[in-house]
Amino acid sequence: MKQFAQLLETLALTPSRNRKIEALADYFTKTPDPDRGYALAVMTGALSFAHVKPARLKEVVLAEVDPHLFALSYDYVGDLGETIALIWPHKGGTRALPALTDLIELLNTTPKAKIADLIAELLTSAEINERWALVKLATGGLRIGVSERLAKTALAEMSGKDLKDIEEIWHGIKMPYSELFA
Amino acid sequence: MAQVIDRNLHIRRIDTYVDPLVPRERAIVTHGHADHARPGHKKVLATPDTIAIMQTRYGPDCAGSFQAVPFGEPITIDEVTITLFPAGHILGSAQVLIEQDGQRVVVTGDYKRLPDTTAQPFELVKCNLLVTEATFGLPVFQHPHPSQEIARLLKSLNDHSDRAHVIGAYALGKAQRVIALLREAGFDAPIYLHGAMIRLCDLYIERGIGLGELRHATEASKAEMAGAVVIAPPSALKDRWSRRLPDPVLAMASGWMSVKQRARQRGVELPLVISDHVDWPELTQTVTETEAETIWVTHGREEALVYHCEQQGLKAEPLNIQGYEDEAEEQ
Repeated sequence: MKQFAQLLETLALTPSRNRKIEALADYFTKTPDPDRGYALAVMTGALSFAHVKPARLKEVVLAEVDPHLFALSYDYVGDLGETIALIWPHKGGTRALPALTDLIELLNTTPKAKIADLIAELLTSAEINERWALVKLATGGLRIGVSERLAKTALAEMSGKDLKDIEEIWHGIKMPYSELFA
Repeated sequence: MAQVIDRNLHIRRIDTYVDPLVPRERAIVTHGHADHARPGHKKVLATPDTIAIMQTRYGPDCAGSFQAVPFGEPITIDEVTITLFPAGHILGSAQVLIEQDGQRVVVTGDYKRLPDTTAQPFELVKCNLLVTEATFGLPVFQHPHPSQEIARLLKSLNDHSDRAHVIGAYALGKAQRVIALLREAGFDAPIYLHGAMIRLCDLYIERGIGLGELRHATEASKAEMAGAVVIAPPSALKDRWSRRLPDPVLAMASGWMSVKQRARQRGVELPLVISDHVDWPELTQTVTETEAETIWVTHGREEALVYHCEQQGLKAEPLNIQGYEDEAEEQ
């Protein structure tokens, strides 16, 4: 999760398209299957969780933070995910988060009644950047400036394939897309 | 208690203002930033460092006369006792304790409680009325330890050794602190300065703050700057000035940089959350520890802090002082 959080931050803050592609290609090269495939799914918005919605996350936070102070903070920051990541009492990364694939599995399989506890536990374990990535992952709506097209270009770059070939494979396969990286 | 000081920070019995924004007969100046230290007062009382900073910025005659008061040394005028205590914000920055008729009022000026070798460390002063800033007065502001942020900078320098790293930092206080933090972390290469930084860095060195080898960025070759650290005012980041550097990584040292949205808007690739103000946990901790019954909030995100104090059973109100919108962080 650490590497994925780092990648999301780099993508969010790097204005240059070429550097975004470079960062993506580098991540895809260094990260094993199926983590890299899931990362791709997250970034292109292909993933969602039945029991994890922005309103759910907000509930979890409001159990910890005064609602009025949360409202003032949200007004100021302007982005729900980022407000949640910043306002959660920092404990400074108490425990390593699971790998991306395991994390997605956890979010998918935890029963609805237990999801709030899981989210609270993950938020407390995470370092600040991981917490931001975690909230982004859980709520979708990444807004980090990565289009499907950009991701495909990065894949073409790392595999040496044609962009056209990548697009052809893309349509015929399912998450976590191991054929794409082959 | 309002008889000791009013909401314009006027100490009535001795007709003296704290950090007045317009020229006054008598002023107590908490620190050298331009939104607190203005030229043109008749008499200024401040720490020796603050007076030196004012004279460097505005000229030796920027006030009619100066009274230098060291930290912890009480001065009594007409039964009002004034004592300055370190605020930890920048070199020489002070909190003002005003004692009159058994009442204690503290005006914090700007302050922080995380370590900083370029400023005298914050001292907690108990009082009845606490007049505090609230620049980062929202619970989303939880500043990391500065050594963590410097570690991220050093990692980036290591990962992009062909790129100059230009760090936007305010010329008074933040610039010197970032340099000192780099030195503490063992970074001993020359650090390059934008012209706007030089005078105040020289002043810090003169006053005993070691900053290692500093060079003028304008006198360095492009090749020399690859992998180098350059410190410039935030306004120079997106300016033509930084375009002549080799493929620069734009960094910025500020408490606002915790908000990614904000870093993005400013085109900052490497946000360094290094703040010279208290964050929310320190702010609320200070309110509690001073044991003050009444809290006035001079500037910043007043609403949240006032609400928090009221929740704790304290009297609190915002002063909405215009003009303290912190230049050090906003520029």
